Amino acid sequence: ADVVDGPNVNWNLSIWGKERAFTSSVEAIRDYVDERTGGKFKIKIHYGEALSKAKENLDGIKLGAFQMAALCSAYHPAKHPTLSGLDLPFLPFPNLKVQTAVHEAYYADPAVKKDLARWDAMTLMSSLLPQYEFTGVGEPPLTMEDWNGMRVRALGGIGEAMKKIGAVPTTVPAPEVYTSLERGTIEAASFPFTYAHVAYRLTDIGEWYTANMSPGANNCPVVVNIPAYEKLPPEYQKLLEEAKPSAYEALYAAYDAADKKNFPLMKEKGMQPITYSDEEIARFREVGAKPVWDEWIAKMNADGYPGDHLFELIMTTSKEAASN
Amino acid sequence: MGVDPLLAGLIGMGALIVMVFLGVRVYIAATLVGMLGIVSIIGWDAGTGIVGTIPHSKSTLYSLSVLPMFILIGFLAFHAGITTSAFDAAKKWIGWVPGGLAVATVFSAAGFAAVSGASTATAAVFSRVAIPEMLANGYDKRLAAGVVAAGGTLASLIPPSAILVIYAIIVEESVGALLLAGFIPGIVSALIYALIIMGRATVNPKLGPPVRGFTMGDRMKSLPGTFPIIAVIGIIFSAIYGGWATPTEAGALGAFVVLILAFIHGMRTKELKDALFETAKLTVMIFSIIWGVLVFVRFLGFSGLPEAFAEWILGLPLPPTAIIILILCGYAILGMFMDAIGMLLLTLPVVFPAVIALGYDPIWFGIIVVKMVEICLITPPIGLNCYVVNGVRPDIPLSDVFRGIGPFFVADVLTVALFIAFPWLITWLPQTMLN
Amino acid sequence: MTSTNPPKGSASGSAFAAFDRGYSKLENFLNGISALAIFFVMLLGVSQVLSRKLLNFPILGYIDFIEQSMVIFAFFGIAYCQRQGGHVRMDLFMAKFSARPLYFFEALATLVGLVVVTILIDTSWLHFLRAYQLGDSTIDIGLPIWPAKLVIPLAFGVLWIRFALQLVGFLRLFLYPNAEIIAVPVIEDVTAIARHEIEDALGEEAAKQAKFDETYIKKGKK
Ligand code: NA
Ligand code: NA
Repeated sequence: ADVVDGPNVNWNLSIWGKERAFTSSVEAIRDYVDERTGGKFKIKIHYGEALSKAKENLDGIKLGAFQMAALCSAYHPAKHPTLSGLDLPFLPFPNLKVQTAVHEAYYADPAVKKDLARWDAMTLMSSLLPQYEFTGVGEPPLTMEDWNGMRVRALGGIGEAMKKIGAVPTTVPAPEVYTSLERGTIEAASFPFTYAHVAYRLTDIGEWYTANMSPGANNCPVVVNIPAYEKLPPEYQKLLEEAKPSAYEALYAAYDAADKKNFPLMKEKGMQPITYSDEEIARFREVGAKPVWDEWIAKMNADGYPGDHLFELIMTTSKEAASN
Repeated sequence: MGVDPLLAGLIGMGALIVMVFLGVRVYIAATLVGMLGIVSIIGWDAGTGIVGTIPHSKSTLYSLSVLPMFILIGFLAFHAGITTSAFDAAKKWIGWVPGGLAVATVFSAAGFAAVSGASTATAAVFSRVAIPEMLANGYDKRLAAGVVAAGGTLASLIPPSAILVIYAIIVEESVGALLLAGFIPGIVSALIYALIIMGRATVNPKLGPPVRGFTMGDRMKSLPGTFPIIAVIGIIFSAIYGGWATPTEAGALGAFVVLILAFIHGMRTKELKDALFETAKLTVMIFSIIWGVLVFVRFLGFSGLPEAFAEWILGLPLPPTAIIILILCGYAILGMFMDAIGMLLLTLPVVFPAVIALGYDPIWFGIIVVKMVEICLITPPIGLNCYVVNGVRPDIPLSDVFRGIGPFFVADVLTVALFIAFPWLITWLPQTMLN
Repeated sequence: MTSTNPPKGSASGSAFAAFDRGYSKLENFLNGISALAIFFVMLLGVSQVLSRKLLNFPILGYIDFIEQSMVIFAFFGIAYCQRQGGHVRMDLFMAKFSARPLYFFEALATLVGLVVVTILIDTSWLHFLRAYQLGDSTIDIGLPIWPAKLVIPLAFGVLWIRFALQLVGFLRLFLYPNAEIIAVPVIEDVTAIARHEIEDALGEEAAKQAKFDETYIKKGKK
């Protein structure tokens, strides 16, 4: 494509952790705008919380300390109540493309936009995390009842659903999950599947994993400071929009590459995959998720947000995207 | 966008040093320079706004909550009578070697280090417990004073140790790994001290005669007194290794055990109150300097100075070992003028990335740096441990304390050289136990 | 260091001293709360381990709870520590100055502190306000964060008054170097620091008995 002419613009982007699958989205955006402007629109990615703690990224955006940031809604649910809808457990996301479609539609909803605009933030895209699964030790939970009394590491909405199922959610900081699982402080831990299971070395000690439970995933939008965005020339704004497909492709490819490497590894270690039947998954939804969904909708409605509408939006978008 | 960020970073480093030398408290100096630096890069409102988020966000990290627990254990340890019983047991078991009481002092100080993270406190309690007995047995004054001042420094290496926790948090390494890593170097330091004493006492038996005549029964009877030490070591090690408790929970359990023992040993509520007040004061001091320095670190993040410094270091026409030795000499000089925690916090943000870029292990470097800091506690001009010994035992002139330190200072330099030559002495335990 | 001559400005000095004493009580009280919080964290840690190990019943949100209550022991004692000169600094060069220049530089360093704390009060208040007005909560059990964020500007407020007292105290000494020392920490030489360390480790009695080798110290100073 042609080089887009325009002024020199330098943006900073705040993110936590090292370069990894999750960051391939923002790296793709950076590379795209750099290339299309002949190096005039530069986005510098500051890894490792160099500019702000992950939990304070939205504060930094509000302050205008940097122009872009990644954040995960579950880190601070009350900062933007509407976003927590996408963190509900057992939402019907059969694959990342459906998840993309739902996240995009959800972020575009006026109620969500208004919620984030209070922080002078607008979402650019969703830096997708794959669905969570559990890795565990001991007796594999083949039915819903087997989860009863199990100590599990599950945060947020997944934790609530697991509690309804009868499991005991236990708080363990991520770096300590390996030892806790090894010594039996917890019996199973949920993480984005498969890449985080390998990153946290759960595959070294896990005896089984859930293959299709899909209890949920965090939504982690990439946000932009609105005043900074409005200062961009329209061509640059358009470039940010055009960069998204390549960014989503980068995410799909990164997770796919991780899976291709990890599945043989897990097989080699002798981990037992647990595949639940559709009926069993439906029971998880009914017993674990449905009450959490209903509570969320009621709470949102009571707090003056369109809870029914937002939940409906998730369900219909998912159905449409899945049938395409 | 105002000043060139890299230039701002350099000016900031300079300004910080000047302010610290002019007596501004480190937490204030670091906050001011960090704030002005960020403001120069992203403007007043955004810059000061970012600074306003840091005191909360950087002090509410769960991993930091272990600090008051460790500090509390140290303040309670003296009341639990651990010093006396540790020295008693060490005397009975190893008093028979040449310079036996001094060797016993080294090992009981190492034992006490397992319940205390404060070098000066360890030196103070052993001045009270070990020096009288050594002098009564005809030990050389200088040896007696030197061994106590040097033995005190083991407290920061052997867990629990607040300074190792702070290092771990600043450089984002595992607190558990650092604590484990300090254990063997602490023991190695103690062994080298002991060897030096035994060597000197063999050549010149007048320095310190062996103490003999204890039966196996006496020895066995001395063991129960060391229970608190074993309990605290057991709790902290098994928690880190076994993962059944976080460092904070292990620290809480350790403090609780020592608290109960201190009550049994006759501690009153007044003393508990004093210990808690002092713990609170030391805790707020440490937290203030942590968030203050992290304001400065945030500025370094915006400026990109640490990357530039690392690149510059990598470009030096010197082998990595030479660079590391230069860095360590820098620490030795700084340590003469500054408190250990303040010095570490101020320098690590810039020095650490460079050391890592040189290919050194972060855990290894932490232990080496803490060892350097400890050496400064026994060297002139400040040498706080020596003053503590002299304060408790005014009959031993400071000049004698400093002379008595001489051989131990040599031992410490040898120890550091040993760790540089054989880094696995430091890294082996955490790697084996945590993988 | 106390002068035997009747110091100038002693009438205003006594009112100043009275205020300092009263204000110190507030600081002591806040530090006491911090001490209690540390004791409570110890008890909570023990309970958490026992409850998890023995009853298979972890205290839910334990980490969230500890994290937010950490502001108590991280900030409640900050003015107390400042009053006692407990915050780390390097006074090697300061200790070389004679009275007037010393008090000048002390006043200057205190003024810097006052300015920094003024800005911190403002910006940490805004940080609280964002959490309060726009919302913020913890990751695990969704505790509101604004109370912890509110602690910080308040603690800085208490610290601000302490800095103001110290600034007045040092300016007063700069004008009347022989006046009684009120409301400011004096620079301690290494013997005084050692005495404190002895007090912390062995108690007040031992600290009182501690004597230092004067001849060596004097020799060292020349
Ligand atoms: Na220790
Ligand atoms: Na020193």
